[in-house]
Amino acid sequence: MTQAVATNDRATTFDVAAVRADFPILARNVHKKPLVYLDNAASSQKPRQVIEAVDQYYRRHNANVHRGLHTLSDEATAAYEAAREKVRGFINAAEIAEVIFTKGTTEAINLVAASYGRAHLSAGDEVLITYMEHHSNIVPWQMICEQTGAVLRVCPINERGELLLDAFEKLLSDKTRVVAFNHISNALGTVNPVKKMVKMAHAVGAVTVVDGAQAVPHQRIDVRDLDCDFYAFSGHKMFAPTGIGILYGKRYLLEQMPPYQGGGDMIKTVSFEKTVYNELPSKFEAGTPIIAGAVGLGAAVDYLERVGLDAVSAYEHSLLEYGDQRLKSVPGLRMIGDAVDKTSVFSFVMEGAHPHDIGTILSHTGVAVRTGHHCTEPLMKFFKVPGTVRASLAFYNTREEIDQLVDGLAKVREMLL
Amino acid sequence: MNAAAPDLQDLYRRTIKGQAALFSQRRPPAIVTHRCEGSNPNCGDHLALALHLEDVAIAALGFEGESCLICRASAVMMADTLAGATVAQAHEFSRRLDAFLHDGQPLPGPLATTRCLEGVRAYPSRLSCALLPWQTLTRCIQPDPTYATTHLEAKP
Ligand SMILES: Cc1ncc(COP(=O)(O)O)c(C=O)c1O
Repeated sequence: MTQAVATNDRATTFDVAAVRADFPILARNVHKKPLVYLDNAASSQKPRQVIEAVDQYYRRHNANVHRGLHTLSDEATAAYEAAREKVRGFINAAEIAEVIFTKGTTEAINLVAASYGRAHLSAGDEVLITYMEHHSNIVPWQMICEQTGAVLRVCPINERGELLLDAFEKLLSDKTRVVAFNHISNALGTVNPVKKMVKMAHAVGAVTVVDGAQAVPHQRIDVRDLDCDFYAFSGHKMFAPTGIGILYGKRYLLEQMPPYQGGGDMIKTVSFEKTVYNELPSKFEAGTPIIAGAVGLGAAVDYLERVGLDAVSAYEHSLLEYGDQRLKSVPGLRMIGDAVDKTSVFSFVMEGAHPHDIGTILSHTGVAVRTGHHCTEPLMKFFKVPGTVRASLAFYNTREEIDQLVDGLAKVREMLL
Repeated sequence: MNAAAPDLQDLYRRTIKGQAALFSQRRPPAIVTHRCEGSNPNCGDHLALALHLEDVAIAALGFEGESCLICRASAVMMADTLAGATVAQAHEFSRRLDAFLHDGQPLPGPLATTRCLEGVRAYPSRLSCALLPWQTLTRCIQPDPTYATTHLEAKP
């Protein structure tokens, strides 16, 4: 199953059979059919290398970090901090002080909204988000706006599911303090021009918060090149365990911000009169962290570096083109989100069939997709659909699997229409 | 490998499809005394129930909204079963259908048509679709007279 992929003018081959062999779960059957896992935007599967790293951590090194002086604690701390360094390199952050472990994207965004927001927002200030945000990049801003009297503004999109950059520019003003948007839309697959948007936001003196949850598994991220102020993502969408994620933030901003939570690890000294907070990144990591999760994330980074994100992007792009062409030939199917710059997501509705019924029937053919509003209710309202069927790709998916999705949709028509 | 797995055929029985097709004919009645909305946020089912209650009797009921086939079929059967029933009967039937779908408890005679929904028992995530119309209704006819609308978040 080596599939040829043309990247620019250089033809490379991506050995999809080899990577599939790394993911034990891909060998299982569902409803007596081989699993076709097309729900990667919700959560990705884990390679053996990640599973084994977590297993080894618990078998050999488990202890609390930054505390004991005994060997296991030293080893656990070293493993945890090594993972931070791997992530730093992975996103090209300047230093490990800028890489904060969180539970995931949601917690990372909440951290910025609560900590930066509380310190810097006041009545009349504005926070700009977009129409295509995940609830986790809407609700934390609504909450902080409510608390501070700041006003939430929303940048509109067009029918293809692309941001209207003219409107974005018009919405920016000297009142704008924070601009938060996703790198890639989970519901549409739209890739936003992050670098350009960051530049526009900086021109009015706003800080930028990029939700990178859907970007990190698909393309190389360079936070310094993007020049964003904050970048949030989840481990579980990039082949690492659940419960671990990252907030990248520029040091000078993180230093100005008050802690998000209080507790152990985030302090230097505590007395009842005065507590001195710890240095970065510990200041934002109160309590015992998800150590094994961090170790798993480090292993996922190693794995992705080995497979190569450029090869992944090129391969996935060819899958996207193939799938787009195949799906658009399915009678009654309407693609939701058709951005010129798009990746890894097919979101669609079918005439006469509710997404939930489609999801159940596809599951019977072994095909796992997500149905519903994908935590983007405002976006579903924009497209006037109750929800969509979303098939989302990872580099271990194949053309044959897309064929199985298309065959499954024929079964849907047979069953329902 | 053309035939669907038997349980899937069971879920999408012809009778269910037939009932669901009637959904667009069970519109809100001319007189509406109670309105209630129910939604199933995980799959996007949304049901707006309009009820004409005369004292303790359900004179008529109908729906608007977009929902899946299972939910639509269940809504139609509920409207047809409960026309003329009392509020107490509506609560009782709702409870009995829930027990039938969850645990296979026997169905009372007036609920016989809903037997075709039993295929959902094998699909825990679909139970909430079948029960959504009934849960929305029982919310709507709770004893509290000031109760007008609710947003019911059915958990799968
Ligand atoms: C674009 C986007 N942002 C944020 C999130 C939230 O991620 P998590 O649930 O891992 O915190 C998701 C996950 O679905 C997402 O797709």
